[in-house]
Amino acid sequence: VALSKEFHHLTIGAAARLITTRKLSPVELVEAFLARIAQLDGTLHSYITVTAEAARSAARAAEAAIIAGRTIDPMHGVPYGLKDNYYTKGIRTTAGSRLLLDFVPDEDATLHHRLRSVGAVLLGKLNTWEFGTGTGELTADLPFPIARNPWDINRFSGGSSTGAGAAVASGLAMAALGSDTGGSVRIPAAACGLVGLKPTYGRLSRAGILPNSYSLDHPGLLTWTVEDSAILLFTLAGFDPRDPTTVDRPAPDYARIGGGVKGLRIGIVRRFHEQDFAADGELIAAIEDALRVLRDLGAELIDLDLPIPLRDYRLCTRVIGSAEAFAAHEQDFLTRRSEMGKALRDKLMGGVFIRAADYLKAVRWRRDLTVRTDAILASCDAVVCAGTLRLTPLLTDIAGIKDYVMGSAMCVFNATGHPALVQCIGIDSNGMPLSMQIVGRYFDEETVLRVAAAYEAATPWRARRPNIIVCDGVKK
Amino acid sequence: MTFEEKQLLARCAGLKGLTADELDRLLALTEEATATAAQLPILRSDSEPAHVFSVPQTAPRS
Repeated sequence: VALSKEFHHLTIGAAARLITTRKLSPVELVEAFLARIAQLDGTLHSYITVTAEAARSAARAAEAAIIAGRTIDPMHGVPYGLKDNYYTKGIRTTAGSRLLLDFVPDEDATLHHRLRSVGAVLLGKLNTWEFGTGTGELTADLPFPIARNPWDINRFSGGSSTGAGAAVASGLAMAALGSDTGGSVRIPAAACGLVGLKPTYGRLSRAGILPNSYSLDHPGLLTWTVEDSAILLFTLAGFDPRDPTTVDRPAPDYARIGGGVKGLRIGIVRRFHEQDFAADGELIAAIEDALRVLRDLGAELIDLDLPIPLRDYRLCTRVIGSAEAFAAHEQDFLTRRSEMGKALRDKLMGGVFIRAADYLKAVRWRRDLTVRTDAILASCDAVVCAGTLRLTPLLTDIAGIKDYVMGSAMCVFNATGHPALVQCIGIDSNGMPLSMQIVGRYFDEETVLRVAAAYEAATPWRARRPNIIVCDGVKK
Repeated sequence: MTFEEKQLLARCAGLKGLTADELDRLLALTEEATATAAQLPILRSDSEPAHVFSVPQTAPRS
């Protein structure tokens, strides 16, 4: 059928509807993705490990459940990838590090377990900066090749979930789970033109995800559409006794995200990209265009005067992040630092001598920043602001990559824990995606997704896919 | 600072066997981190207790 040509560009929502009505076989779907991985990933390097045989077996089991007439979840039979810092029982979990090249966990991360239990199909483990951290410096000293951006293989795919962004944008996975300590899900989503959602701190379990910074780490979701993000969140959200930071709250209902924005009060924080940092002009223009779309759809736009500069959030998270990263990796640093890449080693060295008094000062200040930020956000249903502040850099532009990652406005919501979503709002003069960030009140991912869904439905950006040029010069 | 002094400093943090290059890098990055930490604001000691981070438990508006 004609459909088979575009299996890799099906959304989760569309695939779920086809699978439920027995018009699409999970086995066929997974085979199509495995074939595409074989065809393209030698160029893109989005996967560290492809679990082809396990995926085929899981797809057959998913198909058998459908034939047996069992009730199925929307994620049933859907192929996904995991950042390689998620524990996968019986499957190598490297975290992109020489330290863990042979590490095979004997348990699953909770989020992976939840997806497996509803019949979703793991395709493999995705590329990452070492332990999902670093200094923003791109180095070629890790054991796996650097992931490439499918929109232009000479450009950065975002970090630290480098493979997650590349895989979903190129149709090598329908969805990916990553981790976000200072933007590591939303930055790849921005660079690769995806929907990247970092839910509220406590919404998703971190159990079985290798730590980077204990109190700043958030699991996150990368998908092509807003509906896909909502479906995935609905499946994954919930309390987990293995993670004491999780909260027992009802999951957002993905069926309700199509309510539109008419009558919603949407705040705009311009200071990050206009006052605190001179963002690229193309990005500023795209954000203004996006705001016009939301206004035309009936939202009430309100300029918010956030009295906290971006540098304060960066300063606070830098002290906390450095100290917590060193605490997480101290033993390996003391005994095996020569096997680490330079970016991780530098990050950890910067945390060695952070005084307990300074760490506690930063922790107390964080609470103050959080309460003040929340008070401003609470006056609106959702808030729009910039995420990344630069255009996607070339892989050869080392300073540009560091600026793109460390100079973004993502860390604000790692500090405060608010839900934050990045989505595509245009294409720049280099042919690369532009993006904005939508932020919500605590545990109100539903409104964030609702705003993003309304924008997505009113604009043409989801119809454009990257033309991937593989090494032989052929577009795919 | 002499090599021995740098080694002594590193040992204060439990780091042994660092090469001269590693010690230099450690000092440079520590200097940077210390400068960053020095910019943290002084909060009144009674203004905000330190505790494990959690988000304020306010219900979303429906």
